[in-house]
Amino acid sequence: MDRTIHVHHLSMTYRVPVRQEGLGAALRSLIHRSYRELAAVDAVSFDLFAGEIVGFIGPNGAGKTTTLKMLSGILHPTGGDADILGFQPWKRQPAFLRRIAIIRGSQPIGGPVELTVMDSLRLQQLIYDVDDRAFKRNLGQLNAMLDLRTLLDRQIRALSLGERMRCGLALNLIYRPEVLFLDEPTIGMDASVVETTRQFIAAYCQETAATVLLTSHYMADVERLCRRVILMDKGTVRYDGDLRTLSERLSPYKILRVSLVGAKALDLSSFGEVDEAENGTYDIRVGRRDVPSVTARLLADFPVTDLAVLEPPLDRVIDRAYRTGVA
Amino acid sequence: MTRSLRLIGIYAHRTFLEWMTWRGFLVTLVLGQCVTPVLGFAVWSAALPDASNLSTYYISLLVVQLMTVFQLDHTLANPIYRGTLSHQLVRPHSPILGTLGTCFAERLWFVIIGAPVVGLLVFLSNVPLVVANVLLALPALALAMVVRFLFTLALALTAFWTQQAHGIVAFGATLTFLIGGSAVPILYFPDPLRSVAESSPFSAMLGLPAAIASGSLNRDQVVMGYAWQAVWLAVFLIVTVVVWRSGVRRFTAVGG
Amino acid sequence: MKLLRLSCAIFAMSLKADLAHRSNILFQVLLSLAAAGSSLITVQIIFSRTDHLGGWTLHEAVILFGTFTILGGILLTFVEPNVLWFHQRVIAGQLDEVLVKPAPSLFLLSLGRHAPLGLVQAVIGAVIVAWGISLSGDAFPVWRGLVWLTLLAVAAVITWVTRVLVALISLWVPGLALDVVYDGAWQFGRYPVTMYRQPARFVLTWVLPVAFITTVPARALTRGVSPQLLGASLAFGFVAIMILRLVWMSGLRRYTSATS
Ligand SMILES: Nc1ncnc2c1ncn2[C@@H]1O[C@H](COP(=O)(O)OP(=O)(O)OP(=O)(O)O)[C@@H](O)[C@H]1O
Ligand SMILES: [Mg+2]
Repeated sequence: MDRTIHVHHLSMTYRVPVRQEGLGAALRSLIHRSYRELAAVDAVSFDLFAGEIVGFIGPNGAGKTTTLKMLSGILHPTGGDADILGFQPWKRQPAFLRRIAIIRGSQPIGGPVELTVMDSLRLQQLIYDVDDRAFKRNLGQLNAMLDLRTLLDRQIRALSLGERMRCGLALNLIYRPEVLFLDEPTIGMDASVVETTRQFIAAYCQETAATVLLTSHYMADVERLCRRVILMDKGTVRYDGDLRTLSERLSPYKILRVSLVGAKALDLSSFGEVDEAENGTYDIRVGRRDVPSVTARLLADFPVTDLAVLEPPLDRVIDRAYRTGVA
Repeated sequence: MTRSLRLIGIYAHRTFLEWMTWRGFLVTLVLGQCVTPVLGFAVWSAALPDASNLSTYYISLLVVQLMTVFQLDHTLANPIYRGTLSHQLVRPHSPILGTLGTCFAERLWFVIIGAPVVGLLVFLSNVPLVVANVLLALPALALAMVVRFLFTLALALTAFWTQQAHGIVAFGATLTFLIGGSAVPILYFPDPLRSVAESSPFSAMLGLPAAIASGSLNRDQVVMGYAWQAVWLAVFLIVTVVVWRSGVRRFTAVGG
Repeated sequence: MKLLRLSCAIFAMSLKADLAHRSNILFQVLLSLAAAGSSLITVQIIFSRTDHLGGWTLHEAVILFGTFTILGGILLTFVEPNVLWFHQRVIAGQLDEVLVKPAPSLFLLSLGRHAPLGLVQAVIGAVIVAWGISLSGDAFPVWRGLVWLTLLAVAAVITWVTRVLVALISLWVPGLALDVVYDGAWQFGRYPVTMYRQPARFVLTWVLPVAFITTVPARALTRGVSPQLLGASLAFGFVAIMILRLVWMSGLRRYTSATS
């Protein structure tokens, strides 16, 4: 496989002005500002290969957005190196910028807001040198997947949050970037739009073999799209590998979901911790190794109508990882 | 009445503190207001090098400008556009109190920032100031302030109907600058224009107090000036109240 | 070349957007007409009391004011929409979008948005210049017109550079907005710089170069300029562009985006 992104000891230290409370301090800061160094990203290294969709997760303030900004050339790192498609991002060579896109849920569309969506697309075509045939073809596809028809002649100023995101995707994918940085792309979307967006991202990558680094606080996004995750915390990489392995490592238990005949409440705590119980269906936490034996005992002792072995919900696993760290 | 005054005081106090953060910007605003009098002075002292009390006139005019200018296009029209005026409409008193409070805060800031500028100019130019003339001009200054406030308020309230309120207020300011005695001192207007300018509201809002303070008017002219100020005060008071009432009615009807 | 195509596209699209609001156009026309008309009356009044203003006669002052109006229109159309309240865009991290596009960032940043209605003012300015020429009653040689046009282009460049430089200050001093100050300084261009006393004249020539923006082009049309002054103006414009590029590049290094 081709390596498209190579990141080596990438670091970003912000200098943030600090000021104590009170008027005196305010006046002093006019003359002499004091700063504090904030290591937002600290010697991060990883590689991404062509066609991979990698989840980039971590608690608030972990340094994800900062990393994405460096990789897309917006920020000049204070240390380390990165190589994307053979370019150093912060040199911002046009040939590089034409092949990447960064799409952020917090500001999906930049540029003049009084233009219509179609005009903005045309502008992108000019800026990114997309020839007419490719433009028509790509627009047709985006149209079909994102359902843009009713939006094309609207002014960007008047679009709703979700509509903006759809247009933001279209504007950035009209030139078919090979590397995508998605920063919380599903933030603020309603349930069905979230689903379409996920499908869309998956389809786009399938078709173009684009490499994607995806940040999201919704684990459903990550679960649906990524096999591999990179977990960051306090500026450093804490885990890089298979999502499944991460969840196994973090939660040494599985969930046994059993349904019993009769709605009478039973005490099953002797098998394991009971998470939820309603209408005769119980979720029991069982150590990974004990699953076969507990299952056998349950089947022997109770009138089981249904039984399923589930992975614990990713949200909870990740929550635990954020709180206690990856062992 | 006392309650209203107290509320205005509270609003003024709060806005004053709020603007603390924007003090740098306020300095640029004050400097911006100084430009037109300075420009007028430069032109006329170049055109008429021997004119006598030009510097007294223009320094007075600068003071009048700083005391009478209201940025209601920002402090009132913007809240109307953004719909934040509705916060004030739900309070149990007239929303005009909030606007008045803001204007007092604005005045206070302009005085604080403008005073050193004016002081420096007076010191540098060494102008002869006649105390009697200055005292005679003070009531005119107060009236000018009220007239210009009402005038600007009426223009800014067009925000209830159109998106162009900023342009309209700016246009009012341009007219005041050109006809009110800043670009051309009203004394220098050629004759038929001059009597028109003297009786116009623009003179009442800007030029008159400066002309009195610099001693360029005789007694009859001063009396006439005050009379016109009273007339325009009454006219704009009625206009503004009418505009305000129907504007608020429209705002509550269409929801901003 | 690509930049020119981009500019045209942006202009056409913005024009389309503006034309959707008829009442705005009418309003803009009326406003510009009224402002220009009353300023001209002011000039007339000044010249009813004197026949020279800083060595300029009435028709020369009218031509100067026309030039000033044209450049004001250009400023309003091509530059202001990009840099107005620039400090807020810096604070909000909105320069990001410009940085990730494969076109010169300075171009996208400072000329990437247009407000075509401002050209109404430029047209009015051109009419005023024509009127000033007819007032003089002289015949103007064609080459003077060409020099005027050249110097007008230089003036437009200097206008763009100075306005953008003033905006870029907020990269060094966060939150500092000098928009109002620039507007104020701009007004000094209505009259010939020879009218101002020293040291104001020096400041208006070299620090806030309104002399190069209005006085020099207008002088070129009314009395012609020496080849030296023409050369100096061109050099000044060129140096200005270089300075802007340097400042932008070093400012960019200070830009740390916003937090989200
Ligand atoms: N422009 C900036 N200037 C100063 N500090 C910054 C800047 N941008 C980010 N930071 C700080 O750097 C740290 C990392 O921020 P970053 O935005 O990369 O986090 P994140 O992982 O994207 O978090 P979130 O999930 O909340 O989006 C935070 O502590 C943040 O306060
Ligand atoms: Mg983030």
